[in-house]
Amino acid sequence: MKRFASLALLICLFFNFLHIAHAEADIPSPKGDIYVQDFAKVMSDEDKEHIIELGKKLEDSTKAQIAILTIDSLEDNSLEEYSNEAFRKYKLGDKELNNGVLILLAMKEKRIRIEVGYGLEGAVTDIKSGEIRDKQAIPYLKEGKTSKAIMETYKAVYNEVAKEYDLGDDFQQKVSKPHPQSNKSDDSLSPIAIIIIVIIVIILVILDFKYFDGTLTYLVINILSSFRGSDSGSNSRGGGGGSSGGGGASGRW
Amino acid sequence: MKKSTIITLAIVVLLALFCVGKYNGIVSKEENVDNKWAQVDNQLKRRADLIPNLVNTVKGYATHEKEAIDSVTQARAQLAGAKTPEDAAEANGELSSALSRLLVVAENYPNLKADKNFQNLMDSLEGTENRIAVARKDYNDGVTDFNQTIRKFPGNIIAGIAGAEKKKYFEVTEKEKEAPKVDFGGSN
Repeated sequence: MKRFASLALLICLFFNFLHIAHAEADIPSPKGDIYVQDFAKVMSDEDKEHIIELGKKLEDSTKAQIAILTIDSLEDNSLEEYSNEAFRKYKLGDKELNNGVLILLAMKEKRIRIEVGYGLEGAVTDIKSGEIRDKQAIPYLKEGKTSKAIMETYKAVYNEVAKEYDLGDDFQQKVSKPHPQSNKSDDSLSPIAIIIIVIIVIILVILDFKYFDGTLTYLVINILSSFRGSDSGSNSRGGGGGSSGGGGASGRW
Repeated sequence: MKKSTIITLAIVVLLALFCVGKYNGIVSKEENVDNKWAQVDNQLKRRADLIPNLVNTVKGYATHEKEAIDSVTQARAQLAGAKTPEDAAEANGELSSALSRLLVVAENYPNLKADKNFQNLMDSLEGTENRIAVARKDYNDGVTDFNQTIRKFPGNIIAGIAGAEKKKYFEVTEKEKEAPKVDFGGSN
């Protein structure tokens, strides 16, 4: 009976994984710290960590939240509707202050949007977000340096928010001027690699059941399920309850 | 007191409490709709406020496009005078189509398009239009919620007694749907 339950759980986990691997048209639920939701997998680990660090620092002192969301495709949704819905789903910024900013990139459509919550519309105006889009985002995006574009955009927005709250100069991040430079694009796992990994896992499970009575499989499942349990716990930060009324700027590259 | 009297009384009290709760629900939903409308109205005003600045900038470069400029100015005046959601929706649609005609004209003036002030105004205008879209959606959601409450049983009986009426949606006018989309933003 126990074995059967574990097997069922394994199958569920597997389908869950498949579901995550293929981003659906509806907005994906946030994973880990809210600041980086890189569903299109276009960012380097280094930049992600840097953003999470910056994001935490800013939130600790101002309750403001700036988040990145990258998706493969808008799936026929309009950029503005998608970003507003995502903003409200992630509840960026404080519930009372509504001081969140969402930077959304749709890779297939080559569209970018900086969506600003009600509370920061004075600091990051439409004009300001348009300037950041034109100066920090689009030049790098056109060169294919997505991770860099996101980093620079994040810092530029961050600086505006820091200025608004008078956080002083040590909060200001250096934003570099774009200039051409050869850079390798970081690649993610190819579909073939994923298939091979899945096959290896299946073979291992079969071998385990044959020779060890499935002991290792249960162990892994238990570890995985305990991880999943704690994932929604205190470790990662979620949205603060803020909302947006559609301020900000959109563009294409 | 007889047992049946107590039961009847209890039922009456419960019913009264239920009605009060329902009534309060309708009131707060109506309040929500009004509040959402205020936001739509705010954004419409904001849009109207951007127009004089835009018109002046365009005039600086495209002196001969009097017709296109005038129709924008007129539509703006109409929007500023709108009182009800219907009038506002109508006037807003009018302004949208007048604006897009003006922007088509602006395409012919490279100097205008390169003007920093004009570019900033375009960003502001796009942002405001998007805010209107969001506020409109929120308002319409509020209206749906309210209308459903006062039409479903037993809300309809209480609404009838209280005299609550169905709220009107803020609809996108046909004109606005037809209006050509001009996109200056970020396509450089």
